Formats: sequence, structure tokens, C-alpha cells
Amino acid sequence: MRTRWLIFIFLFCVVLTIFLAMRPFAGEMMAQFEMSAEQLEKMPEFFREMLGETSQMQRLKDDDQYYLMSQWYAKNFGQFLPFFALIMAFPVFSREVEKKTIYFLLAKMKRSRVFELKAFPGLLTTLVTVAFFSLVAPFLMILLGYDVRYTGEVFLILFQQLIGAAFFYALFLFFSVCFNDQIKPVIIGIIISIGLPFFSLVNGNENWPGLSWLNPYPYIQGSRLIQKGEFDVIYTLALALTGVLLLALGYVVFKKKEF
Amino acid sequence: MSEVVNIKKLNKAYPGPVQAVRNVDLQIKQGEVHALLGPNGAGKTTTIKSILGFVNYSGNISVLNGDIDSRRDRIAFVPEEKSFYEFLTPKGAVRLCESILPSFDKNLALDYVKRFSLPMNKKIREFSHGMKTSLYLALTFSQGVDLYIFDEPTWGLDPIRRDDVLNIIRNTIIEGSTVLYTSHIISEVERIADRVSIMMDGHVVFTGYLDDIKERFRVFYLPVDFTDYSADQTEAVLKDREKLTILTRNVDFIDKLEDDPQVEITVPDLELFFQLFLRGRQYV
Repeated sequence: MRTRWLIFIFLFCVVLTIFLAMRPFAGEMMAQFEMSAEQLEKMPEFFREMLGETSQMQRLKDDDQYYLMSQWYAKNFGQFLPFFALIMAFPVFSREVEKKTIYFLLAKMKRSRVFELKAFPGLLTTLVTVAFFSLVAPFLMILLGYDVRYTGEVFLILFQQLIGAAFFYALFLFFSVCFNDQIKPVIIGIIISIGLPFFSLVNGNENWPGLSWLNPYPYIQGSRLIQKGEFDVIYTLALALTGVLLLALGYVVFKKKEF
Repeated sequence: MSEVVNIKKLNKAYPGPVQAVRNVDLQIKQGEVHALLGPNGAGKTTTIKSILGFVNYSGNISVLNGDIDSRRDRIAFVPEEKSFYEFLTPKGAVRLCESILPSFDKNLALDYVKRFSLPMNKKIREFSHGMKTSLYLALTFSQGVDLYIFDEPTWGLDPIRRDDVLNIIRNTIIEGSTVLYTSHIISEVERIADRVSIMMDGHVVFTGYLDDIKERFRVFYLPVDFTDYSADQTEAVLKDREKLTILTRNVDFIDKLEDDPQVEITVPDLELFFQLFLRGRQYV
């Protein structure tokens, strides 16, 4: 686990460095964008929708706090979280079975103890890492002299990231329990991580809620918090509960599984 | 002698037509080295996996007079695939075992590592198969438990290391401990086992002391046209173009033929006994 974790720590550090280094250029980039704002009016509607609220984008130029929220939480860091959870969770059990080291553990310990020993340190490491990189970005921005504060929104996004990371960890851990090799859980995990955003394309209407709620990326990235300042309690509870259920299901499968 | 492992009516089927273990009754007694013999697919490993709770089964198994989960700290297991965490060195492996196994003797483990000439600071992934097996055995021998279960423990070891391992099992571990042991190498079983059970097609077809085999069983080599025997007098019958071979423990049958100068008779060693049992049961 240590090697995989270190690789991701390195990756997060690289992305964080780029995020900090790009801050002075965000204004210039937005100025260019400002010049072409008139042209936006002439663009097709679907393209304008794709670009989103342009006034929000203009804030990037002057608002350091908004840069942090939109570029670190909603983009760079937020998008990596499911993949980080996948890397941490997929080999937890499948590798032990594939390498046959599971017999050493199962012979000496109850399955409940093996599950505890294998599942929870990985979860804890995932959550601590997420919390660290979530909180270190504003800290570094303050050190570099930007006008950034630890607002309530920052902590709410952190909370959402922790819930989201725990959910993905539980989901990928379940696949790790189910399969006896490492290839299948990692492939399924990649498909899920890449595929979930496509649910956002299936919007609902008055009679049907659509499927966009199945995509937890906007929640993990704090999109609603950043754009509307709203904390989604129901989605939080649903995601947390699903994560707990997946963890429990993984435990039950592990208890019954033959080795 | 009390029973350390008591198996009653063990049945285990995997998906597919083959039933791995059928109605197995087996008792492993306190302080004995009990060898489980049989050809590939006989059900030995499945029986061991059932004892250890690795697979679901029907029947009753008690280990050290209790449920396996309450006795895990008193047993040690060497599986067929002796894989340990390959990113560790022997030193790291010893440290890991010390941290999670309550009765683990770190100094004893380090002694075994030294005795088996294993490099202390080399990663296990760089070890040969024999070295990996030696390390696994070193970690197992240092657990100070009541029941040791070995599944093919000497497979892949060179003759000298194999000799060392058998000596350790015979002379060191069994002081107060019990050993359940599977192997394909009959000569090593004969060297260390007190009692053997032979499995075939998921059944235990024989259980007995090695001494009893020599005392009670006889092998007769008879003319091919010899017909003066019945199924209940024989344990195994093997017929080829030149002779009829009969394994028996029937006293009347032995008395009748042992003084006949035309009949060749031998006391079976385990190898011959095992071969006849496996090959000759179908003709009984």
C-alpha cells in the first residue's frame, strides 16, 4: 500500500504545484476570455451551456478564494479522488488472494479481524490524505500571499470530499473482496470512475428525476456549494449510507467467501 | 489420548460434478504426527481447508476441543503455496509476525533464518522457491502452538534442507504439539509419521499406525490363476500378466498361505502399502 500511496502523494504534489503556479496566469487567461465575451452571444446555445455561467468564470481573475474553490476543489483535486480511492482499495483483498498470502492471515485470525486489519487502515489513510491535501492548498495560498481564508465552505467541501472518498473506497473494496485477482477490480473501478460522469448527461424533467444524481463527482467537487452556497444534506446522507452498506456487504461476502 | 482434531461426516462439494470430500471421519490425536496421504484430487487439501475454515462444508469439525475461530492462536499452517509478503525481507517478516502473532518467538525465528542460510536483508521477491519455503517454515516453527498443519511442507526443498525440516518437525515441534501433515513423498512420511490416513476420491480409505501396517498387513505374490480368496479377505488386489498381488490383514488368509513355499510373501513398507491401496482397491 505504501508504494501506491506514495505515487499518489507525488501526483497530488505535482498537481498542487501546478495549481499554485498557475494562479498568476488565471487573470491573463480570463482577460483573453473577456475580450471574446461578445462572441459568446453568437455561439450556439449548447456551447454556451457547456461553458456555464460566464460571470462565475470572470471571478477567477480577481477572487483568490474562488480560484481555490473552483480550480483546486472542483477540478484538480476533486477529480482525482475516485481514482485515489481506487488505487488504495482495489488490491486490499484481491492481491492477498492472488499472491496466496491470505492463507497466512486466515489461518491465524478470525475473518472479522482480517477484514478490520485490511480494510480500515486503507480507509483511514485515504481519508487522512484527502483531508491533508484538501486543507494544505489554502494554507499554501495564504503563505504565498493570496487572499484566501478557511471559510465554512472550505470545511463543508472537505466534509463532502471525505464522504465521497469513503464511498468510493467502500465500493472498490467490495470489488476487491469479490475477485481473486487484481485485474478485474481495477478494470471495473476504472470503468466506474470514468463512466459515472456520463450519468450527468441524462437530465430529468418534471416527471422524471433523470440519472444525474447517480454521478457523485459534482458532490465531491463541491459544485453546488461553490455555485449556490448550498450543502446537500440528503445527498450526503445517501452517499454515506451507501458507503456503509457497501462496506457491510463487503464484510458479509468476505465472511462467506471460500479460499 | 485426546483428539486435537475431530472430524465427523465432513462433506464438501465445489461447483461441478465432483464432490471433493465425502463423509470423512478423521481424528488427529494429541502429540502425534498424522500424515494424510493420497493422489492428487483425493481431497487432502480440501480436508485441511475445511479444518481451517477456509471453505464452507457440511459436517462437524472441532479443533482443540472447540471452534476453529476460537483456536486460531493455537494453530499454525503451512499452505501448499508458501507465499509471504514479497516486499519484505526476512527481518521484516519476523517483525511482522512478532507484531501480530501473540506466541511468536522472534529469537527462535531469527535462529531458523540463520540456520536455513537465508539472507536477512534481501527482499523475499528475490528468493528462490526453496528459500521462500524455508522462510515460511522458519516463521511457522517459531509460533509455539499446539497444532501444526503442513500441506506439502518440503516441496521444492533440496535434500539437505528437507532433511533439516523433517528433523525439526520430528524432534523439535512435536514436543507437546500435534502435527497434521500431507506429502506426496512417502519416504519422508514413513520417517516422521506416527499414523497415516489414506484418502482416495474424497474418502478416507485407511487410517492406522505405521507400526500396525508392518505388524498386521502382508503382501502375497501369487500365480495369476490363483482364485482361492474372497473380497472380505483382502484389502487390495492387483493383477498383471505375471502375478497376482494381494494385500491382506486377514489372519486366516495369512495363516493359510504363509507357510506355502510356492508363495512369495513380504511385510509391506509404507510405499508398497500405499501403492497397493491406491491401485488395488478397485479389484477388491
